Amino acid sequence: MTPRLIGALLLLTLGLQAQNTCNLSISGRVIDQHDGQSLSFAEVTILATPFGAVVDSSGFYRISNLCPGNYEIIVNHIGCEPVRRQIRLSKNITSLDFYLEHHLELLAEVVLVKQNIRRDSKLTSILNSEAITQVQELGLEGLSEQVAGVNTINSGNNIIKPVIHGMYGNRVITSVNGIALEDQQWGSDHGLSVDPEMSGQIAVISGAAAVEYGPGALGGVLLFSAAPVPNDSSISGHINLQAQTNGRGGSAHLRLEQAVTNFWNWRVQLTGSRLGDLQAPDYNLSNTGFLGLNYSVETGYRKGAWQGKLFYNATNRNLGILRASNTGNLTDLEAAIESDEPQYIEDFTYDIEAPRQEVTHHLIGTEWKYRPTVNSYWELRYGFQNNRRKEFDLRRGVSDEVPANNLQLLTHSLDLKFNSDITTNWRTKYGLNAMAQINSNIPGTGIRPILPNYNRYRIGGFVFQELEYERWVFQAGLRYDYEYTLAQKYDRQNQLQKPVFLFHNLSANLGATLRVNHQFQLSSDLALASRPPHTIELLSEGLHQGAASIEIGDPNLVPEQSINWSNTLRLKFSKRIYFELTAYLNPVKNYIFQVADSIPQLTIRGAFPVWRYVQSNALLTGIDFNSKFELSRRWEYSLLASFVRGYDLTNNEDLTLMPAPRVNHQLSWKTSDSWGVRIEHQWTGRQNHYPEGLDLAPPPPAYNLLNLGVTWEPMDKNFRCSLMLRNLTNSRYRMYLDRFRYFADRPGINLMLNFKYKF
Amino acid sequence: MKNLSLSAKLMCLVCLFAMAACDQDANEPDPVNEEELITSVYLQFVDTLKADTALFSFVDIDGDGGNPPIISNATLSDSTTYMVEVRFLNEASVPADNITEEVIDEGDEHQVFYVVESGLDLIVQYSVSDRNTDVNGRPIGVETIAKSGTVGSGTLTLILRHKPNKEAAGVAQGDLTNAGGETDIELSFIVDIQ
Repeated sequence: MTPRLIGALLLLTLGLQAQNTCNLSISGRVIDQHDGQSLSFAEVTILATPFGAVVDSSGFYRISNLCPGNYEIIVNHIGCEPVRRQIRLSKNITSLDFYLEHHLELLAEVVLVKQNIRRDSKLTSILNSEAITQVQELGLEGLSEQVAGVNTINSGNNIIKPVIHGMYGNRVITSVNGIALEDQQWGSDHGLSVDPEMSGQIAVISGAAAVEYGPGALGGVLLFSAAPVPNDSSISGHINLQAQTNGRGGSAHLRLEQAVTNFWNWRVQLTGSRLGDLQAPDYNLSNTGFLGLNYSVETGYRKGAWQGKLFYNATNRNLGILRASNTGNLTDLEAAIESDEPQYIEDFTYDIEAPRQEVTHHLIGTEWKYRPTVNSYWELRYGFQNNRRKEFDLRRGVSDEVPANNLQLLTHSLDLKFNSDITTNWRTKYGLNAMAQINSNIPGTGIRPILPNYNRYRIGGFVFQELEYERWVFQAGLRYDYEYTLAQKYDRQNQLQKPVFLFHNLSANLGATLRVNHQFQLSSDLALASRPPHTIELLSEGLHQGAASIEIGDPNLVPEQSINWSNTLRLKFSKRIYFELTAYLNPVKNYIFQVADSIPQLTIRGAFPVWRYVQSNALLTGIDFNSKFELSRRWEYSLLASFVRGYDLTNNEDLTLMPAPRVNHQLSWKTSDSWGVRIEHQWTGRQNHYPEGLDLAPPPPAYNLLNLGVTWEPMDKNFRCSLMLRNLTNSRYRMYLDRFRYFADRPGINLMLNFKYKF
Repeated sequence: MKNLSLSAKLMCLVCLFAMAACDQDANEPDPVNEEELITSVYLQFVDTLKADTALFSFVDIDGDGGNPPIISNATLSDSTTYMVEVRFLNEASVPADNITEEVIDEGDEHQVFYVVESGLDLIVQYSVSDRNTDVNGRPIGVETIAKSGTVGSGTLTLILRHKPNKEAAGVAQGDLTNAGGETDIELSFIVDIQ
């Protein structure tokens, strides 16, 4: 090359570099998803920047003078659900179109008006993307750190059940892509078959939401749904890698998605995870490893007034149960409780042996929305679920590979809803729901089944009305369900019994929200919910080895009836201070729970405590508090607290297993645009309110945990790195709602490294 | 439940999309066959000198729950040496299953312990015999030698442990303090020495 050519090239590259300053633009249209019409006067805003534009009368917008980088764009239009999208800007984008959906789901979803004030009378917490990331990195345990009023009840770290306002199991409905999850939830050793990494949206409804979600949503609803597939015609997605020191393992998650045309899209996700034994501060927690493989495939279609989705989710888990928790009889249990250390401690291994669980859950679903007019739309959802649960115990005489409990749960569910805006102030929603379920014990266990085979069918319908008047929003809903169950079990005389149960359930709700001004909002909600007893509560009989106790049901139990009065106050000052205070009072008539007989039952294995399902009138009450302070542009402080009390009014005692009081607070510092540091302190009190004489060991003492997090998310790159140090002081502690507290401490210090790359 | 079949038919409307669900017979369970059930423990003391026997038994035919177990205690003579043998049976099965042989076959995973209450003058030691020794040369405990002392009474607790730590201190001598494992059998007899 001649020097002149080199000079010219240099000039050219310099010139190109000079051009690479902030003069990029994005433009496109904002369109009403139903009829394809332009949505003039919609606002397109780029978050965390002063840039934005208003859509003109032809539906076009343009934002110029942008620097290259990653941005989050939000598009708002009155009466529509806002749309958010993340983009990577490196050159001009000219057809960045947004499709907005006019009007919203009424009960569960929330209208986010500019100042983030909610209209819904129900306490709904929608997790923002930072909170969702936390839950994805930590698992369901993370949910209790993000939402006040949510706790967890555990059997170690592999089995985690969410507790909302003191209620869990069959009193909490988990909804995955709009379909109520039907996996065995009747035992405290039954975890949730959900992979938060596959969800783009997570929300929690605290308090009875039975009108829309069905009987059983006494405590609340957990909503996991897939985010909409981004409008990107090339294949995009992300990889999420995680490693942790405690357990010496990690997980990998891959998401691939593409909007092939404007009409249809697809998404594929895969998560694999592996952990060995966890470590408590002083010893190895033998046999607490975990192996998981989850995958999902979905495809969506949209044309004119129609929108549909077909999806398949599967979760497969092989989870180890602390070996030392597998005690024989009452004497063994008492000896284990006496001992300060677990009675079985071996070296670290990745092997998962008995006692363990293998749980597989398949969900195939389809969802369709049809908008015949601007003011109304229909929704149809169908789901089929297959849950296979195998519980392996230490067996004598038979191989440990023969499950002690082998269940198959098949469920079909169908939902039809019609949403309509009769006027701009009056919205209605009607729904019909049907469910058919079969529970079968797969033969070959060699043990009398604790939950009999059953066929269960339910049909129900609801109406819901919402009226807006000046600064008020009023809501009213009514629901009726009819449930039929046929169970089949062999009694001790080897006679086949076929008891039938019929239940009528009525649910209702009345709510009001007052927006006093932009900063202050009050809401009150009164909900009536009814939960029929589960087959396990009616008919269980036998030794529940995993719980080392004999459990006996009562076929004469009647449905629980709950009245939940929940009040929320929301305050927002100057965009920097946010308070939310909720107080609820929840009397439950015929509340079903277990009490131990005063005399344990003598068997050849020794004495076992006998737990009977009984019912009495109960009262649950509590306070949730949530606050955030933006101390400056870079510093933020947040505090979450929850207190729950439960009373057995009939027997004048405290209810068992009520969550202990908790306060979580966190200070975060954005040291620069890409780096963030946060320190979190969690205090859990000692549960001083519990029924004396019912528990073999008193609740553990109060404890403090410190967590540290560092995040690196460079502005012009597509990745995010985070480092978390959990329980950084390596404290020894035990949790009241963890069944393993009888046997061992909780895990100690854990260093977690997370790497997320978007493409 | 007068309109049982009507309700069932109504419900079948719901299962238009679940034909198998309507077929209730398809979900009939199998009869219960508890394989590893031990219903009965027989503890036999034989005084070879006087050809005397004393039999203690614990029988719970219907397994856990249901009817309570039937325990039968016996008396021993003072200052006597007995050969003691324990038998484990599943008498819910016909013919009865002899579980003792299974325990001996899996001898390295089992050990029987005998705990004598402090007021009772009875010493129990493991026999040394082929039948009572596992593949690793450690005692199983199905055969023991008991020596009674002075007159008195107290409890004798028999414990079968599954997968105990047979190497731990004292375990081979019959001390279950460090044994661990799961308790498959734990029952107490009242021994009367006369």
